Amino acid sequence: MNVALWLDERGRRCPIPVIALARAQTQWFKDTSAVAQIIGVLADDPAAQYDIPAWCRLKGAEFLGETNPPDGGPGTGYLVQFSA
Amino acid sequence: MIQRSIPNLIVPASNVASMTGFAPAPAGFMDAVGGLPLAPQTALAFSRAQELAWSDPARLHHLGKQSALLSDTARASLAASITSSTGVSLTVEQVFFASSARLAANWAIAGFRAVSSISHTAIETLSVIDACADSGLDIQVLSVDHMGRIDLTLTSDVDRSLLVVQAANVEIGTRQDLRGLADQGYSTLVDASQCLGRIEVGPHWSVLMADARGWGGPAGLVVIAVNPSATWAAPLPAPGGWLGSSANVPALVAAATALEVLLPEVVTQAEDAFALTEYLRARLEADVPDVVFSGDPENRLPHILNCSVLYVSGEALISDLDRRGFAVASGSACVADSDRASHVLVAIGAFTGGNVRISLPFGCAQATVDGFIEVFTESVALLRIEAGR
Repeated sequence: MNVALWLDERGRRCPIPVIALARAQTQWFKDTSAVAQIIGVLADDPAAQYDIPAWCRLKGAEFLGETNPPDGGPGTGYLVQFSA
Repeated sequence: MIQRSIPNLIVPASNVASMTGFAPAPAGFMDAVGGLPLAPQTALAFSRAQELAWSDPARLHHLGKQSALLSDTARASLAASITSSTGVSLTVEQVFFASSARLAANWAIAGFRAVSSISHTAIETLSVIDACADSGLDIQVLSVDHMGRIDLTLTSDVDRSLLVVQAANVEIGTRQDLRGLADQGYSTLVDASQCLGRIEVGPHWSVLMADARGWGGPAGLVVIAVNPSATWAAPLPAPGGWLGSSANVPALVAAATALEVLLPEVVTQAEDAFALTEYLRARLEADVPDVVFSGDPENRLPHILNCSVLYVSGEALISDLDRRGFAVASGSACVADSDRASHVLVAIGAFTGGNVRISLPFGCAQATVDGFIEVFTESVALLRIEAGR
């Protein structure tokens, strides 16, 4: 899967990882040339597994699932797709 | 003739007339699920019972008999109160007491000897879920929708299955359709904690259990009532209604008194609380961006409101509200004892961060709610700036 941007939020607790995701979405909406884009969030806060999917439902983003961090490091990767 | 009124038995008549059915909670207190102050009559009955009923009610001497008299009177009072709140006509012998919800549920489940499996939802309280597992029976976890309602088109083997269900969820307030579930043919163990003393529970249950704290009774007393129409038999003898030889007569006397004095006010209290929580929800929805509410907005407990505030830490929010004079609870991971988010929020797919559980005490004033709205709005805005949102 082609991930356009990884947000490394490992070591940060709720609500910081979700704020980073929301900020990325705002940026994406500002960019008028934006196409559908996949963003990955790396997080080890246990709340992220519930709150990233729940945030996506609330904010019209699509939650694509979890994956291993591409750097082989700790935590979980959460894949989110933004589209208009 | 059994004496059925605790206040009339041990509280001097001159003290009874001037008292209301609940104690005013401290200003800014909005966590009724976590316990309530004892009403004046309840506190008086509790302390009188501690003087009079400290001896084991099973003893044959006169001090034991004195305890037993108070215990029996409180049992009769609860039978009468539960009868009037549910419409199920109970005798004294159909009411029992336990010191914890888990013990109560263990015992209630064991009395359904014909069942071969248990069905429960993922949003029951953890004590009750543990008690279901304790039984050793097969467990089926029933799914609930995003508001916490059981899907009535269930497919389990209803005849042999016991349904264990809360009359209403204590975190998000959603009420279950007990009548619809009974119509499916289930035997039911209904947990009516936070319901008895707040709403009319109705007659659709085989066995009912409820924590006395919900109606302003003391901690450590769970009441069980057995519907005379239920196929149920006590798994072990329970002398005087007490499970597990742990008679705590003063707590029982206080619990019975609390419900007895509250009953005349239940309907008004429910109407007031429902209007206040509805108003609170509407104002927060209008005034604070990115607040999401959980639970059924209509068919719900009157005093409960649950919301999650995006981009704010639950721990920071609860602490800041407390500093500003408002006591509320939270189901966020950073606030929970277990460091895990509320299993109820997880099961309904709700946002678990920045969670606020509001439960209004009896007699909550409009001014308290207005004050909360102001403080909450300010607190959320400041915490979001601090978090970089």
